[in-house]
Amino acid sequence: MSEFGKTVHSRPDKVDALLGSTLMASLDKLDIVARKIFSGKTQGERRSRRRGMSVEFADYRQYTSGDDLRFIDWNVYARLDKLFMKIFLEEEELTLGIAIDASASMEFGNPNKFDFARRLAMALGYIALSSHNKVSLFSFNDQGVKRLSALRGRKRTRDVGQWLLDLIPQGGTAFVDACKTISTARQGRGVLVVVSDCFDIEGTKQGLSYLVGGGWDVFVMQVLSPEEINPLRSGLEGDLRLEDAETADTCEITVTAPLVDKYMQRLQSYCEQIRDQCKRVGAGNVKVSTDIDMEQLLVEYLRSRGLLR
Amino acid sequence: MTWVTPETGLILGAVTVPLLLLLYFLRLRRQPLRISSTMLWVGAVEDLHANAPFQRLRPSLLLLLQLIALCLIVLSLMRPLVEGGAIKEGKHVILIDRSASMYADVHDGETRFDKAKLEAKELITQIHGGGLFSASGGETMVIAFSESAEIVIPFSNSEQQLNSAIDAIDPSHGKSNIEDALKLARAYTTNVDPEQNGMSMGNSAQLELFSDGNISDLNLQALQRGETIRYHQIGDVNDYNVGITMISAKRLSEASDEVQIFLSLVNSGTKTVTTDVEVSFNGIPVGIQQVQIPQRDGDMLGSKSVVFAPFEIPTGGVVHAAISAKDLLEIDNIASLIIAPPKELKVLLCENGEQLIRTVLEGMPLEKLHVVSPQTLVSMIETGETSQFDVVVVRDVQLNSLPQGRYLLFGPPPKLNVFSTFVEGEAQVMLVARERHPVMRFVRFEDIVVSKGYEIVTDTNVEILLEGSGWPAVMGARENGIQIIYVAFDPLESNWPYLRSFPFFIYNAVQYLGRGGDAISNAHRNVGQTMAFDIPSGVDVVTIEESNGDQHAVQVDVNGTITWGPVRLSGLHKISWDGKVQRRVAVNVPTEELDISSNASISIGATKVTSSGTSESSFVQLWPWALGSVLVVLLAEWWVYQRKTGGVSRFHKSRSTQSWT
Repeated sequence: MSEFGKTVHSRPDKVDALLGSTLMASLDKLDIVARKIFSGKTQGERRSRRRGMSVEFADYRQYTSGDDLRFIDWNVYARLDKLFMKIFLEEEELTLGIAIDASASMEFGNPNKFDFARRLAMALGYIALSSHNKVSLFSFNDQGVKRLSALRGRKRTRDVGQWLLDLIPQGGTAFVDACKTISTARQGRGVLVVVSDCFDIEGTKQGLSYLVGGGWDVFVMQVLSPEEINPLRSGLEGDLRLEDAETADTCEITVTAPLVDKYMQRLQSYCEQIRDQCKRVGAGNVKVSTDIDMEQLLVEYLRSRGLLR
Repeated sequence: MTWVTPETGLILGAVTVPLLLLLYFLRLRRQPLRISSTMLWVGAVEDLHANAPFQRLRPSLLLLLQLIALCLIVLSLMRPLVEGGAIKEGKHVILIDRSASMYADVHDGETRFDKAKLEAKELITQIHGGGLFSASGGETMVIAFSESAEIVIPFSNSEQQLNSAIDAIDPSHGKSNIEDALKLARAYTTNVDPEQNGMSMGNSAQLELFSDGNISDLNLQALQRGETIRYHQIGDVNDYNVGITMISAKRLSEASDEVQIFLSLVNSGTKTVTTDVEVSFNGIPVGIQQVQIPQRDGDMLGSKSVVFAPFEIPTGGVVHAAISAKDLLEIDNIASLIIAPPKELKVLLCENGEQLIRTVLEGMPLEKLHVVSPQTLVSMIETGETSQFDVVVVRDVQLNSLPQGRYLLFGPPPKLNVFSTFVEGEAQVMLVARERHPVMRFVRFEDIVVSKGYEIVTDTNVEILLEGSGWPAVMGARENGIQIIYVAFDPLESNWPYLRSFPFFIYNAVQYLGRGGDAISNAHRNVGQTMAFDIPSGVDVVTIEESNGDQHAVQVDVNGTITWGPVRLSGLHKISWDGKVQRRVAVNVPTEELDISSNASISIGATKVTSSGTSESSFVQLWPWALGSVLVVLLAEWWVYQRKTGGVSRFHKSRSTQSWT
C-alpha cells in the first residue's frame, strides 16, 4: 500500500525530456489566445483591438492633417475624391504567464502531477516563445514565488526548460500570497495559466480575484493524478492512516466502497466549486488527469477551450 | 430448550461480546500512506459519520458475522438441550414382543416382529450412537417376551452387541404375556432401599415396549413408583386376520375307523369374509367347505364353527386344516392334529361290592374287560399280570403297591408318595373343573354331591381336575411310570352314579389312560404349553424337531418321561428315538393372538400410555451443531472480508471515472 501514489516512471532530468521533438513539431502551428485586449510595450505578432500597423485591415477613417500618407487608400480617393485612411489592426506583444504550483502536494501520483505541470508549462512556453510572445514563469509554494521573467524568442526555450527542471516541489501552497506577488509584479498584460491541484478552495477564491484584478486573463488548469480521481481503480485498499503531504494532517480510513464513493462525490463537488469560482471571476478552467496524452491535451482540449488556436 | 451450563455462557458472553465491540471502537494498526491532501478524505469520512463513537458501529456485515460467531460459541458453552429423541443417560430396558400376532405382515413380507427389531435397533442407535457428539452414559438391556420372557442381552453400552443380540432373537408363536418381562426388568434395575420399606432407590430404568399392544395380561400389571414406559406401536389399528382357533377330532364310537373333524374359525376384521376350508389327512385332501365368517362386533371377534362329515381314517396320521383367505397373519391359517390309530383297549376292573363301573365299561367298545375281586387283583399285582391290561380300574379297594401301568382309582388313596397325606373329607359339592382336559370333557359336575371322601393334601405333582367346595375330588398324577386318574371318593358315597356325567367320565378316563395320556380329540397343543410324554424303557435321549427344523436333544428322566417346553412355534413337531420318528405333536397358535389389530395406546394398571408417548422427557445436545455453525459463519466472515478488502476493489475497477481530461 505504501506504493499507492508513488511515482514509478522515470523523472525528467533534461530539457528534452520535458518537451520531445515530436510534440514540439505539433506545437509549432499553435498560438496563445487572449480573451482580453492587451497593449504590449513592443509591437508583436498579436492582433490588438487597438488599430495599428499590422497588415490586417480593420476599417477606414477620414484623413486628418498629420496622418501617415502611406496609409491613404488611393483607390477610394479615385472613386470618391476624398481622402480616407486605411486602419489596420495593430499587432501587439502578448505576455504568457505560467504559474506552477510547486507545493508538496504536487509531488504525487503516477504520472506525477508536478512532472505533468512542468511538461505542460514547457509546452505552453514553447508555443508562446515560438509565436514571439513574452513568457514569464512563476512557481509558488509557502516559501515564496520564484520567477523567470520576460523571455522572448524561441532560443529561450531551453532556459525555460532548465528553470523548470530546477524546481523542487515542497512545502505548502500559499496560493493567495503567490497571487498577490504575481499580480503586483506584472510587467505586461497577458494570459496567466495557473497549473495546480487547487487543494485550497479558499486560497483559490482569493488568489484568482487578485490575479484577475491585476489584469491577467487567467486560465486555471486543475491537475489531478489517477490515484486522486479514482483511488479504488488505482489500488487503494486496507486500513490506512493517510498523511497530508503539505500539512502533515492525518486521517484514518478503512477503504470501503461507501467511503470511496463519498470521497469521489466530494472530489466532484470540489472541482465544481473551483469551476464556479473561475467562472465568477472570468477565469477559464480545465481539470486534467495526469495520464492524459500531452499532445491531445494541447491540440484538442486547450484549443477547444480557447486557450490555444 | 434447556441449558446445562448457562452461567458459563453468560460469563463468557459478558466478557467477549463487549470486547469485540471494543475492538471495533479501538483504532486499528493502520498502514501510513502519504497522499497529496487529506482534505477530501476527511470530508468523506465525516460523511460516513465515522468519527462519532456510536455511529462507528454502522451496519457492518463483518461485525454482524463476528457477533453471530461469538454468540454461537457462547451458546454452545451453555450446552443447550432440546426435547426429543431418546434419553441417553440412565438405564433402558427394551421389551420386544415376539408373540404370534407380531408375525402379521406389515409391508412386502416384512413382519411386525421384523419392524419391531428394526425400530429397537434405531432406538439403540439414538441412545448409543452419534460418534463424537454422543453423550451416551447409559446402558441398555433387551428382553424378548411372548408366553414367557427371556433376557436377550443383559445391560450393555455396546451398540454393536445390542444390535447383534436383537438380530438373534428367536421367533415364537405364543401368546403375549408381559408379566415375566417386567419381573425380569425389575430384577435387574430396581435397587431396593431397606430404610424405606423396600421402596426403590433412585430412578428405575426407562422401559421401551415394542409391541402391537395385544398383550393378554397387560391389565393385570402396574407400573411401580418411578418406573416409566414408552410404547412403540407396531402395526396398524385396522389390520385384520382370519384364522383357525380350534381343531379337534373324534372317532365315531359306532365306527372307530371314521373320524369327524371340528373347526372353529374367527374373523377380526370389520367385513364378512368368505373362505374355503380344506382338510387333509397325511397330505391328501379329504374335505373342503366354503364358509362365511361374520365380521367382528365391537370387541367380539366374528366366529364360525365348521363340522366336516366323517371320513375314514383307519390308521394314525396328521390332519391339516387350512383356510384360503388372504390376510396379514399366515401362521394361524393352518392348524394340525395328530390322529392316533384306532385301538380297542383291554381293561381290568376290580370293584368292592356293587358292580357300579362294570355297567359302564360293558357299554364301551373294548377288546377285553376282565373283572376280578380285590384279592385276585392283589395277587395279579404281585405277579405282574396287570401289565397285560391297558387300564386298571379299581373302586373302593385299598392298594398297598402299584406296579407301572395306568390306573383309574376310586375311593381309598393308593400308597403313592403324591397321595400319602390325607384326611377324611367332609360332604361337599363340586365347584371347578378343568373342562378342557380330555378326562373332563362333557362332564357336567355342578350336580355332583359327595357325602364323604378323602381330603388329599396335594403338591405340585398332582393335577387337580375337579375341585370340590372342601377338597379336591378328581386328580391326575404320574409317578415312577405310573399314570393315575384318582377320584377321592367312592361313587356310592355320592349321587354321581345317577348322573349322566358319570359314564362320560368313565369313558374319557379309560380312553385317556388307554392311549397313553392322549385323547384323540386333544392330540394337539398350543404354543406356550409344555410337552410331556412317556418314553419306552431303554431310551435315554429323544430328539424333538420343531416345525422350523430346529432339533433339540431331550434327556428321558428316571420316570421314563420327557418334558420339553414351552413350545415356541406352531406347526408339526416330531419326536424321534432309535433313529425313527416315533411321535408327532401338532402345535397351533393360541386363540388370544388371533386379534391382530394394533392398539394405539395401552393401559398398564391405571396408567395409559399412547404410542411413542413417554412420561419422561429426553433431550438432544445442540452444542455440536452450534460449533459447526461457528465454522460456517467464520468462513462467511473470511469471504466477506476478502471481498471488502481485495475483491471489492476489483469490482469497482470497472467503474467509469467521469469526464476527466
